[in-house]
Amino acid sequence: MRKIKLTKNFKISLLTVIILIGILLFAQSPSSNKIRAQSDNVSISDIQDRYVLLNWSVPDNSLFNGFRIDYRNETGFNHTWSFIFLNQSVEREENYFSPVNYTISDSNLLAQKKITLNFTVYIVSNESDTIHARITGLLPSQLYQFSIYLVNATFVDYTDMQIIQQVSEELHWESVQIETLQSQEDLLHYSKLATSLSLLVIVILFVAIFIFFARRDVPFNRTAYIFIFPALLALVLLEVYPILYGIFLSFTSYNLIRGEQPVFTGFNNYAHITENPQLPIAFTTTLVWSTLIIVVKIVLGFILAYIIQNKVKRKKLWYLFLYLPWAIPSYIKILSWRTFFHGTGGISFFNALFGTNVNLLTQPYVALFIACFVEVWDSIPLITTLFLAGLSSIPRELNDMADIDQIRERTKIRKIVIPLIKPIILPAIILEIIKTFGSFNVAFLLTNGYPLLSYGSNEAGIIGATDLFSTFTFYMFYQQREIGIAAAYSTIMSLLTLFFVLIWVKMSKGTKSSYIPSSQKKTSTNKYVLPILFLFQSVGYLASSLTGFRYFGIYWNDALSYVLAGFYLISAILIFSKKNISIKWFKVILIVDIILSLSQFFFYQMWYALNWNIFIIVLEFFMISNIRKNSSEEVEFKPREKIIIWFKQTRRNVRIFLQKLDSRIVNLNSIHGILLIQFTTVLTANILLKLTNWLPWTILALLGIYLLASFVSEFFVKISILLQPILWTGIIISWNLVGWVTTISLLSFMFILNYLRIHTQFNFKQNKFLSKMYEIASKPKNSIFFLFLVTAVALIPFWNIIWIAFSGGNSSVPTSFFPENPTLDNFRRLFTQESIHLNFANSLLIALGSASICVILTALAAYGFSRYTFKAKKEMMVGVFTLKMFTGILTLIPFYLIMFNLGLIDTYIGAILAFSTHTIPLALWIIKGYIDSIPKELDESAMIMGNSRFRVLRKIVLPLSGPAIAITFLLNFLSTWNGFLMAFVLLQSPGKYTLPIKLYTFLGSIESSSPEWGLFAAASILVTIPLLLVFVFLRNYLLKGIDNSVNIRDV
Amino acid sequence: MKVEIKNLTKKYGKKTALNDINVTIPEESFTVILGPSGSGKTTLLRILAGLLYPSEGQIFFNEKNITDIPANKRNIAMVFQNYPLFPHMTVEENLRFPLESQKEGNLFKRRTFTSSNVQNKVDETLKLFKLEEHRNKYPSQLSGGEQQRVAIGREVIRQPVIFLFDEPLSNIDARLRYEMRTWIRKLHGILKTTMVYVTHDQAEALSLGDNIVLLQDGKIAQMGPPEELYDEPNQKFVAQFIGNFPMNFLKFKSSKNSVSLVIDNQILLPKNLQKRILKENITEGEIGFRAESIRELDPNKTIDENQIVLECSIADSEKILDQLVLTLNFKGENLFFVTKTRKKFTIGQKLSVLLHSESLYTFTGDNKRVF
Repeated sequence: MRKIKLTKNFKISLLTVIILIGILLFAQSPSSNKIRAQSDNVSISDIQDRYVLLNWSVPDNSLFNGFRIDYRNETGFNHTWSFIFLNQSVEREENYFSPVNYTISDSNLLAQKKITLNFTVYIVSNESDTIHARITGLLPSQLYQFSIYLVNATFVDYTDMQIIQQVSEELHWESVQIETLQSQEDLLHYSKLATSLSLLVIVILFVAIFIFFARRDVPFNRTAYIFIFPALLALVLLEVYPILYGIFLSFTSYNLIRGEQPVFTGFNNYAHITENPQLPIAFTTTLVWSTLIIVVKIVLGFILAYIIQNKVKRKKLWYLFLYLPWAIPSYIKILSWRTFFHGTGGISFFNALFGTNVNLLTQPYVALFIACFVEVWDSIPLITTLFLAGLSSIPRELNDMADIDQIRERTKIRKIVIPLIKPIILPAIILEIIKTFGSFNVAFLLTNGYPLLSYGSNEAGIIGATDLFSTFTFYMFYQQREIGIAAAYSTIMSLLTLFFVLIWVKMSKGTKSSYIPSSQKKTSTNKYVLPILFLFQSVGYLASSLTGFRYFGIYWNDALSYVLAGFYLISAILIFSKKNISIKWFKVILIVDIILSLSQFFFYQMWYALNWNIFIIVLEFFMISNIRKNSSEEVEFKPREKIIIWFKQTRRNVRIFLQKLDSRIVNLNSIHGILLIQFTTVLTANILLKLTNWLPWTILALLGIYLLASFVSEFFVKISILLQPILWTGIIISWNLVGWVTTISLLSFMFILNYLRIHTQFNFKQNKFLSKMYEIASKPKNSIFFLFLVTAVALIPFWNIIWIAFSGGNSSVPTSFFPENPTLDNFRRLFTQESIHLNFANSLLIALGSASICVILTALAAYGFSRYTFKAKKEMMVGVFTLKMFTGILTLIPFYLIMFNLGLIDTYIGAILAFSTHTIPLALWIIKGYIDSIPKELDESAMIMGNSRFRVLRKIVLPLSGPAIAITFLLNFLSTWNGFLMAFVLLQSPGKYTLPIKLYTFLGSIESSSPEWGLFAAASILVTIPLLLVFVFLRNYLLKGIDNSVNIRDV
Repeated sequence: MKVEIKNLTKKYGKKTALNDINVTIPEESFTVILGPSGSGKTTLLRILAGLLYPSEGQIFFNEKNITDIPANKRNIAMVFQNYPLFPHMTVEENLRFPLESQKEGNLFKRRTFTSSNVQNKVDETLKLFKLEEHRNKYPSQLSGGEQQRVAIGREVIRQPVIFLFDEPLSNIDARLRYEMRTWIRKLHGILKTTMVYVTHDQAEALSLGDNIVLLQDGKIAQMGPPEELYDEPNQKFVAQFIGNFPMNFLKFKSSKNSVSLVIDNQILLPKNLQKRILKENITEGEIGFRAESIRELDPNKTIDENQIVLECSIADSEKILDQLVLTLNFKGENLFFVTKTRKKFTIGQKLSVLLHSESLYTFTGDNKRVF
């Protein structure tokens, strides 16, 4: 019985494969551009679906002054296409893309267009040799006959226009009947058919697979497949199929502008990419970008979460501050930062605030830093929330115990907090990494890739300093419409994303993502990875010195490369042979290599030489240090021992010397640290803002001298307490601009307070007055200042936006704290002039639709995953989880094409489908976690009472998992409501724009000359307010949804 | 309803939870499935309920094979250990829910009960379970005992054919547990439906069940009425598991014509026991005796040939209300001795005890009981 079933399934799959192949063949429709008619001096050089290109040489005949071109269609209807006049005085202009061109001695020139009452005529020079005319306005797949007449005609004035009056005519040439090509729309029918057929095949296959598996499972589990089917089908159709289609497209040549069909070209696109000099630059930018952001995000997020969790009293208030920015759409946040830094062509709020005249976004490195800052700032609420969730899961007893045992805070964090929260937040961090790597919004909206850098002389060498892989791909797709090449880019990017994730998982071994328990051995894999990496390095260096090709952008001299290659080879062999070897020698090689790479990095190309090599070396370092930890199989051979002994002796000598020196110098303490921070603060401000004023530099010098002096003399340290307030007051007075005064007052306050605290603690404990001072100073904690600072920085652009919105004008620079004549003019204009309510409706429709689809599908699937144990459940969960990685720019192109082929571009359904599946993995994670926390016995007792699984879900599980459902609904709703990229690509008519696109049209990209600041600001406020209200009122409810460890009995 | 379990096996991956179980549960009986934790008793119950699917074997309700029928169509009731009341429903709604869930027919399902019918039944049950004043409370506002009463009431109201209890009393405190125990027994008297009760607490099992199935490592160790399990254990495990105190064991060895203890071959077993052991050709084994069956040696009485005397010292004494539990040291072996005597004993004191052959159980080397 089972055998028969198997063969049946096999037949079905065979059939589908055949059908698929058939579709592919079918889709590759032939396109032939044969030239079918020829004449002695008139030729038809191109035949297309809607036009025909004619070339003819001008005959020497003085009896006429122009040509008339006619065509006749199948029914015999004769139509005059146009007149072409010969004239002496014609402006010579070069152009290729006009209907009529002419050549004079091989230079191609544009005919002048002139509109008269009866015909559109073109005027060419009478010296012209040949004339090229593109006969437009034809219909596809029709027979036409063309004829050229030599005519003598004159212009006759008629009211204020002219009429052409023909005097005489003579047939010059007549073509045979020509059939125009099939229209591109007709051709598109094939791809439409192919797409819908392949989708159908996928659905059928999928159903077949599901039925097959359901049949083989035990009877009680069969309903599970019904639960998970819809969500998985949606994912396969809208996520997996686009990925595969994208991979297919990357092997084809396909340009949308040229109206081509995908033609299989093998690895041509990839070859093209490797030749592109922009790629490595975009790639290194992306690498710098993601490394910086991830590190800062994780560190800052952890610090914020730790402070809020452990250091601050009014936790709820800080929570609120944390969630407020979360509620504001990221495109508004990003654009408001653009307002702050860039303004209109450099007239920005930033400059007004600090009295400078710099446009930070035009300096390449600074622009990249600012973009990073904005990205971090944009996503910090989310990551802090994740950390907070992790921190709150640590049992309080552990914390108390650490306090009782008097463990230092640093040790506590390192040994207790981090190990405990690691497994909880690692999956989330993986997601963050992928998101950052493929992040698009900041680079696109804030700077749009600008400022430009140029490497090399030609156009291909020019690339923006903030052009990431994603924006670069988007440019290829959206501007150039090179589908094949852009698809190849996104395929590469997907592979890299996968690679990064694998490395990360490997590096953080021993931790669990919530699905995969790892019980692997520790050393075995490293032992093989390391020599292989070494071997690669060796081969790379060898090849680079032999052929002169730049290995990872590095080209030092050949000899060095040979030496390094040799070293690496020997090391690889040594590790392969598994003799007991000292790891320290490898470290030496690696240090030499990293010094070489870093010096490249600094001397040759600055930032953009930060390359793979450094990354790989760091990886090797990491592995080596791991090996050493696990197996201390180091052989101590004598020469090394001697060296070590010598080294130790010198070290001791140096230390003794230093100690002697130290006794003469004041003991180092935290005051010097604070002084150093002050010094660097002023220094960076000076450099960054290009201050040429004498005052800041004098202050800097003063601080520097002060810092140096305080090392030497105890006296300076003591009087510093008196000098500090004076110095800072001086600074505040000297830079009397709002920005400086606020920043510096805050900073100085913090500095002085800390100063007092440390000073009094160490030196003046006996003095009553000072001990009182210490009491006062130590009350407000630094952590509160830190939080305050972060919040203040977070709120600046919002205030800016609010000011602009109510000021009524179109200026982006506030001149007072409150707008002088507050009006609602901008809001009124939004509704009357821009009718933004339509965009609200669009956004609402799409967001509600997509969120409902997402939640329904996910709730079903989450229940199935939570309550059943069927085969391959774990694998399916992991598969869904990995799909999360391939969103955004990675699937944009194939998804666009699929929608295009299905005719869903510029429709609501297309947009809803696009957004509905993107949050399914995350939503599944949340809802499944929440359902897991609902006792299984509830379901079971309900089932025993006679309820089917569906009724259990409806009556028991769904009502109880309200918070999780709400938060997933909101997640999808927000991501749709705020979704920029997909909507930008899919919706094309202004009537269907969603809010993000509408708001973007007010400002345009960074080059735009006339941004509508007022409208943008007013619209931002309108968009943000409902979201803010939702967040404020549903805060507690939503928090419950995130914290799925909530005990259901306490509900 | 009669329940038959035939050749039931359940495997979790490589681990076998139940191994070839064959049980017949008679109609209207109160059957207790007893066993130490990990013996597979809950698995067995969940398979009976239709929540788990067995790897092999079948289950019959009144000769009808219901192995493939899911839980919601078996018309059974189950009371769980943690009394899972629906937290979003009040007590009344919790009681109402099972009635509203019951439907008949396959294609066009309709309710079995009309709404007035439902209300009457709910009121009746509330009265029966003394829950009337808690009618509109949510489960989280009730005490543990009340919650369990609602949980049981919720099952009773449906008039199921079989009641399954999955350690229902283990989350309740000791005093209340006793109360609930008598109450469940009373309930069985009223309803007269087949009840299957899973527990690891032998006191509960012995007091409630009229039929006990003792499980060990996924296999049935012994099956029968509680007295039978106590008086006639068929193997060492049963003898150890059933009873307030674990049974005492002493190894014996038989030579040509006598059987003596391994510890001290001077001490011979009682004459009649020796005869039987020699007759059966048992070379070595163990004798077991319960702590309650030991008697203190009365120097005034003569020693029968069917009795043996063990000279021990007292290692520990523990007084539990009127009972005195002595741990005796017999040449390195610890023996439990329970007595109600008012005498004072000091630790280290010598004490001779008397064993009668009638209270001795004999086990072979492979832990099977012979007589």
